[in-house]
Amino acid sequence: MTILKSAQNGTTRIIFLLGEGLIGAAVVRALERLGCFEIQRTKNEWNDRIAFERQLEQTVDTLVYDRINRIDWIWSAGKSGFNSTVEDTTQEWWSFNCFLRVIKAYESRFKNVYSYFHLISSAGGLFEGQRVNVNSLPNPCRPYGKLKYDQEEQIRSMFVGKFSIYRPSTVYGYYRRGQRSGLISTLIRNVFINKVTMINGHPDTLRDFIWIDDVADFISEKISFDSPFGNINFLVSGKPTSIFEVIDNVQRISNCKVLFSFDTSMSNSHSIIFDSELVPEYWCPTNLDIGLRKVRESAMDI
Amino acid sequence: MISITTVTPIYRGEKTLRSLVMALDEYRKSLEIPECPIRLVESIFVDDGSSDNSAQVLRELKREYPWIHVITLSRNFGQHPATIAGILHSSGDWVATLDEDLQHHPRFLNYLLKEAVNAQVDIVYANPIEAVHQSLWRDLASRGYKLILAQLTRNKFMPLFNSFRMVRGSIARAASAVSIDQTYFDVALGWFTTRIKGLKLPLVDIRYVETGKSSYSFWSLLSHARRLLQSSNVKFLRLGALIGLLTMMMGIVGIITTTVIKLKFPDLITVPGWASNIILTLFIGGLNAFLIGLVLENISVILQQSYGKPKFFEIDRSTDLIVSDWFKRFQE
Repeated sequence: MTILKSAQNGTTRIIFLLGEGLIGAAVVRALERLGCFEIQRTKNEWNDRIAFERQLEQTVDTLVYDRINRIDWIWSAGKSGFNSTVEDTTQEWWSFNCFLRVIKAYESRFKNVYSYFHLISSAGGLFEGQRVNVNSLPNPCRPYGKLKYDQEEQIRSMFVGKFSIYRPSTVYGYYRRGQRSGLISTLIRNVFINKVTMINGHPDTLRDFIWIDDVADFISEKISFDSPFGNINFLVSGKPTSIFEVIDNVQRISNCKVLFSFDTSMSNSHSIIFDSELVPEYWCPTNLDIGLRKVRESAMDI
Repeated sequence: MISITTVTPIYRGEKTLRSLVMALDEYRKSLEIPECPIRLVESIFVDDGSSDNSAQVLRELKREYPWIHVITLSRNFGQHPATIAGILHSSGDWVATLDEDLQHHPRFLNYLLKEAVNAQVDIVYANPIEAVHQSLWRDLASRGYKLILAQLTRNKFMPLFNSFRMVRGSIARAASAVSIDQTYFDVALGWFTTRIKGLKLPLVDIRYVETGKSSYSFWSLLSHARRLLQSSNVKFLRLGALIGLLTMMMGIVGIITTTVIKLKFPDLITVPGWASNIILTLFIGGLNAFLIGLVLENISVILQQSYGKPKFFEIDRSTDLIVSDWFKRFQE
């Protein structure tokens, strides 16, 4: 968990972020670019429920600085992914509720502090296999999607009017050793080490790829400037991209042959398509080709 | 559900855009009947750096018809790059490409799709029943141009090429993904499938008939031909190499014959040195032509690879039966 502080115009704002995975770490970097500074960082005790709860309580208890006007709580945590089982998601659901309990306890102690919740959800998990437009309703097909749906419902009921939900599509970002990476960064990394990449899906499986910094910038601006975006934000590019197109682009930008094989037995090979109307106004997602070049640079450095 | 996406590159099309969108809307609504498995899910318009009011018209249309998507290119890139840009934004199981001037009327989309699923092909080109320009000279020139290029490239589908086409979505997107600025899109489509058909339809180039002006100038046709030849595996290179080889062999035969004559029947030689000159020219010229032909053929292969020609491509045609069945039932 990471705590950041920002003091502007005589007001002090605390940002409490839980989970520094791909998106969480990018949000921290984006917030720092906007003038926030880190005041505390702790490694989470995910595997021990008691230790996790105690650690969370103790960390939140330290938030007693003078003149705190607002705290933004960000849930960007969890080890669950598309292939998680019910057991995995149950663990994450417990951690999530533990976080909410601690926040509510804090709110009851410091009633003059304005509390706002940001949830990083998953557009893919909620709308798997759908052609999504403004009228589409979530229909999770697997435990991960159900978890995200339940998390959203929980936030809606507990933080009425004081929450933002972000639904990013397929996020890709810089390659970082030891960190969970998505299809694109794995593909690019494997090109340089001449390794075969196993791809879950068909060549024409359509995905909506979104660059990590676009997601992070959107969230950090929403936090820092209270941007007038809605409570539920689809962070999608609105451009369906086939796996074949990704492979071809990777070959082109790396000047190397991509070694790959398709595993069509996996159940997440369905296309997920987002209508361009869902793209937030005044938000211009990075072109896939440029994003791929950035990933290539990060993969070459390692 | 089987989804169709239409892609229309726009260049100075402000006058015809509204009529086209209304025709597309009519087609879209005609599919919204019970049990029909086909839906027109999106129509993508690519504004290819239009200098008229097309962008404004598209914005207005987008507000009225939410299923329209507009892509704006930074400058005028040409019809093929604009079509490719549109296809790369598409998500339909089938992608239909059509011009903005209603020469390619949306009412023909069902005919193209029906032909595709019934024949289990991946691409159906619309071809005019009658002379499309209603001008003998213009139509003969157009046909002749395609036939000459078909002969040069040995691509039997070239005479079918038309910008009004119904393409299986996966193939359209794959061909678009591999295309670079010099790739001729229809040639790239041919890298992924040979299941290609033409369908005769009553098409008329309204712009040419009304104004006498074609959207293609002589120079643009020349540029098309150049890109077509560049993208294709140019078979006449092989012919050049073959002619070179034959000439070289004639030279070898000449060398042997002249040597025998020189040794056995020297009296037959009336002008000394003339035969040797011709034979050497034949041999060296033939050798050069043969070697250059080989090098060019190799360069052609490398070029095709760099243009994105794939080793293989997988395809799923299993949904064709659903559409084919529906067309049969609908007819009954």
